[in-house]
Amino acid sequence: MQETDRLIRRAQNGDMEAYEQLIMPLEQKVYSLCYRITNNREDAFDCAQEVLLRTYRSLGDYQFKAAFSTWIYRIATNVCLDAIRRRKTRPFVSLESLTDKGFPLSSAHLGNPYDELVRRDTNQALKACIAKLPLDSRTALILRDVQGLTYEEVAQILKLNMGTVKSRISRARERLRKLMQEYGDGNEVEQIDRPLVRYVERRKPNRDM
Amino acid sequence: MTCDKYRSLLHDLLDGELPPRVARSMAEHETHCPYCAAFRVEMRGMLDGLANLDEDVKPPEEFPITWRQMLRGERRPVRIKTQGIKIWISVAAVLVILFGGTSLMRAGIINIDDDRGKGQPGAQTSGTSNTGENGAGGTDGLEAILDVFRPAVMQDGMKILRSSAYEISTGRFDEDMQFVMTLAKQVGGWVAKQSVSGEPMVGVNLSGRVGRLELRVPDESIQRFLTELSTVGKVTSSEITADDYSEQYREVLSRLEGYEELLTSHQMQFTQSVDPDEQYRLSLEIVDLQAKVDAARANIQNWDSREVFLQVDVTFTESAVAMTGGSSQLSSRMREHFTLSLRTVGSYFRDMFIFIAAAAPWVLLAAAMAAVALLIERLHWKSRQL
Repeated sequence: MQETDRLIRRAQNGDMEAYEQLIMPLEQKVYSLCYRITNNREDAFDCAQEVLLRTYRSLGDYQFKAAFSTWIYRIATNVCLDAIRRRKTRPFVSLESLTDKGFPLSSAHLGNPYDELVRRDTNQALKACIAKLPLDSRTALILRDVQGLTYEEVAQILKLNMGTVKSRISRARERLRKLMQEYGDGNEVEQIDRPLVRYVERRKPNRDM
Repeated sequence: MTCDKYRSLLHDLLDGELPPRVARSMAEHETHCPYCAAFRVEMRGMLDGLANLDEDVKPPEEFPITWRQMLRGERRPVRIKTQGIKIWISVAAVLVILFGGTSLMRAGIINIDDDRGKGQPGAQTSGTSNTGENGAGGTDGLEAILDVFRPAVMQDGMKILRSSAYEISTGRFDEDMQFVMTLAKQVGGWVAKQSVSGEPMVGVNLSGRVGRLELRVPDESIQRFLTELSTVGKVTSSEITADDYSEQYREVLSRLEGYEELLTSHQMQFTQSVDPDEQYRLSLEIVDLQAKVDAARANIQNWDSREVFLQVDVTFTESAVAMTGGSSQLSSRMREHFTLSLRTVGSYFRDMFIFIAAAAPWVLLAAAMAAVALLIERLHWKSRQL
């Protein structure tokens, strides 16, 4: 923590290398948060870039009260929500159209092909269903359940009280579960992945053994 | 445990925020409710899926390069010390209230003391005269003192005549005397008497001159006059008196009426008389009576006038110390003004403490109301959370 504070102070005095060091562990998280909220690679790219520059510009305002990561997540959330509000008139590019196009799976997951396919299937369904959630519920759910932040951190980022955050996330989970059920009851996934899953399922090893 | 209760606690269970006792009770519920058990498994699976959702999301390769390049074009971050600004704003607000309140109180716009209509709480002095070194400061609150010498309720026929006397030691005898006379005229008064005795302080003559001025200054301008007067030379003594002339006034008034009646009857007798001796005697008495009536009238007029125009006697003494040279005269005047300012500042802060004391109960009341409002807000917020 002291090391982070030291880096922040150096960055506040205009040391760009210190800032880059400070951002290194957060760079991917900021990008994925932007990507998940905006649902769009181009917007995620622009937003994440804007977040990292705006954070640098606003370093003078940072008071060491909240964790630096919480502070940068707050900036990221605001930038993304602003971008979405601005984008409202633009045609929406669905997440489904982007899957399998530019996000290589990490080697850690290339184990059992069946498990991998099921995981990809679930992932795809989750991504599609998250995109259908209302913006405020989606943001809270992403921060808590995708980014893994605590309720307190989410409350700080969204500037809400804990009670509101908890109830908002509970509602978002319930809604997401319903969307997942509807999704599984016969829809786009059938057209993309289901045949492959069925093919693998026919050849799967006996998992009970 | 009912299914509804189970579902309401499920999110806390999944977040690991339930006490073990409640978690055990939920596990026990699951043993005889396969729906809730399946629901939990489904939810758990969904949350695990969410937790791993973006593990494979990576920014495009050009992203780290692009933002770093753009960062090079940025200027050094500006530090905004909002905390410091807040403190300074608070300090400035307190100072504005303190100095503003005190100034308004001193100007009489805020009246915290109902007993005396003037915002001069520190000026309640019991003495009637100041003599000696307090000099220029002798006029501090003189108006209030003059007010003390004015009866709260003036009864009919009551004559309280106030007057003040000053002794001023000066190195600039002629200029200062001229200045005071001009000043009296400027404030709407006049010079009733002027006299100078002694010889100018030249060479070995160290006794100097003594000048006396009897001035009449309008009641409403007395404060301004005395304030200006205190800047002249060195005030070595000041005295204020309020004399009750009621009895003399009534006596002279009744005497005047008697003389006037007698004069009228004598004049009638004179016109009706045919005896030259009688006429001669009457004419002598008429002249005598006329003189008495005039004198009594002059007295009455004088007293009436002195009620509106206060008498101020100023005695100037040519000062040897002040005559010894320009530089010492300058330093003496500097010292005088420094002392005057010091006294003003002192009296200002004394008034400020009085203002703080007067405002304290209101500040406490406001703080108590703010605390109650805060408490209500907190309670309301908690009830919303529950």
